[in-house]
Amino acid sequence: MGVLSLADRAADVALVEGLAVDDQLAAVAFVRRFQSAVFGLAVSITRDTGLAEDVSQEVFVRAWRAAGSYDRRKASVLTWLLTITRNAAIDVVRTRRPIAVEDELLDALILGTLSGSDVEDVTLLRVESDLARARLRLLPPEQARAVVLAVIGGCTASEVSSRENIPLGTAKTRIRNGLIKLRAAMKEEETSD
Amino acid sequence: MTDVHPDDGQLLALALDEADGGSRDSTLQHLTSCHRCRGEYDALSATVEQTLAAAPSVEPSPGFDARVLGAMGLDPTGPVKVSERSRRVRPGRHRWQLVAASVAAGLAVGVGGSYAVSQLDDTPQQSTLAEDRSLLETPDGDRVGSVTRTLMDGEPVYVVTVTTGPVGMNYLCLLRLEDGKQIEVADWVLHSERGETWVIDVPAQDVSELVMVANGGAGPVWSTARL
Ligand SMILES: [Zn+2]
Repeated sequence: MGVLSLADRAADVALVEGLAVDDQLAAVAFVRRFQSAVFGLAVSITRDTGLAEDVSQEVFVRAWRAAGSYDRRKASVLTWLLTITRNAAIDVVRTRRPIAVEDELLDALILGTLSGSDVEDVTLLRVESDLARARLRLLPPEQARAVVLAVIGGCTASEVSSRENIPLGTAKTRIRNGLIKLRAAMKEEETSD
Repeated sequence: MTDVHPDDGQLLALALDEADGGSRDSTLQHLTSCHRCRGEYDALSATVEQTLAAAPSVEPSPGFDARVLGAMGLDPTGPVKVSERSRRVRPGRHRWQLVAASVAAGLAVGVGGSYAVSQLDDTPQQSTLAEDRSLLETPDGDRVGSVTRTLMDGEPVYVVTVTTGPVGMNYLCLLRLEDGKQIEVADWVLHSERGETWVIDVPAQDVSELVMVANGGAGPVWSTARL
C-alpha cells in the first residue's frame, strides 16, 4: 500500500506544481482528480448541492491562487485541499443561515463514513480516505459520531449536542477525546511505517 | 502575553473553526507566545485536517470541471477537450492496480517494495517546473497530457498524466533513448475519460522521448512527449 500511496502523492504534487505555473493541462487533471472529494465534503457541510457546487468552485480557485505556496512537507494535497474546502464551506453556512441538524443527510454521512469503504468512491484517493475512515472506526461509536458531525459535517459543538441529545459539555468532551484518540492512532501509523 | 491559558474548549473551538470573534482573537494572540497551548492547538488542528479525507466522495453535476476552469480564466474549450457528457465512467480497475501492474513488471515505481516503509520524500526539493514538464502531444499537435520529471523518495520518476483520450484503448508506453535504443515501460489502458496518471522510474540512460503507441504497441503512435 505504501508503494501506491506514494505514487499517488507524487502525482498529486506534480499536478499542484503544474497548477502553480498555470499549466492548463495540470489544471484540468487537478480539478477532475479532486472534484468528487471536494464536492463530497462541501455537500456534507452545506447539505445543499447548489451551494456545495459554488463552494467547490471557490475552493479550486483558492487552491489555484495558493498553489505556489503549497508545502508537501506539511500536508498531502488531498488534506490541503479539503482544509480549504472545510473553511470555505463553514464560512458560507455560518453566514447564510442555520442549517437543520436533524437533516437525514447527516445520518447518511455518519453511516457512510463509519461503515467502511464508500462504494461510490471511484476516485483515486482511496488509500488516504480508507486510512482516515479506519481510524474513525477505532473510536467508541459515540465519539466517532461526534467527531464526524463536527469535523466532516461542520456542526458546531452545540449543534452536535442538540442532534445527539446530550449536554453541550458532553458533546465537547466526546469531540475532544475522539480527536485525541485519532491523534494517537495517527502517531502509531507514523511509527509503524 | 497573558498568563491565562485558554481552556480545552476554547482550543477545540478554534481548531474546529467555530470560535467567535472575541474569544478567537484572544486565543490566537495567546498562541503566538505560549508554546504549550500552541502545541496542543496544532495537534488538534492537524487531527481535524487529517480526518477530512474520511468524507464521502460525491460527483458534482456534469460540466463542473468546465465551469471551474472558466472561473480560473482558463479556456475550457481550448486545446484540452473537457467532456461534458457521461463522465461518470466507472473504471474496471483501479489506478492502484495499474501502478501495481507496472510494479509487478519491475519497470515502474519501486522494486521489491522498497517504498513500502517510507514516507513521501520530504526533503525540500524545489523542482523547476517549467523545464521539468513536457507536453504529451498527438502527431496532429493536440495536447493530451503531460510528463513531469520529479523526485519520489529521492529517486527520479516521470509522472505521466493523460487528460484526454479514447477510453478502453490499450497503449504501450516506450522510452526512446538518446543512443537510439528504446525501452518498453508498461502497457496501459485508459479507463476513464477523466484521465489517468502513472508513475515510472527514470532509467539511467539519457531519454529523449516518451511515446505512447496505440493498440498495445501495434500502432499507430498516439502521442509523444519530448523529454
Ligand atoms: Zn498557554
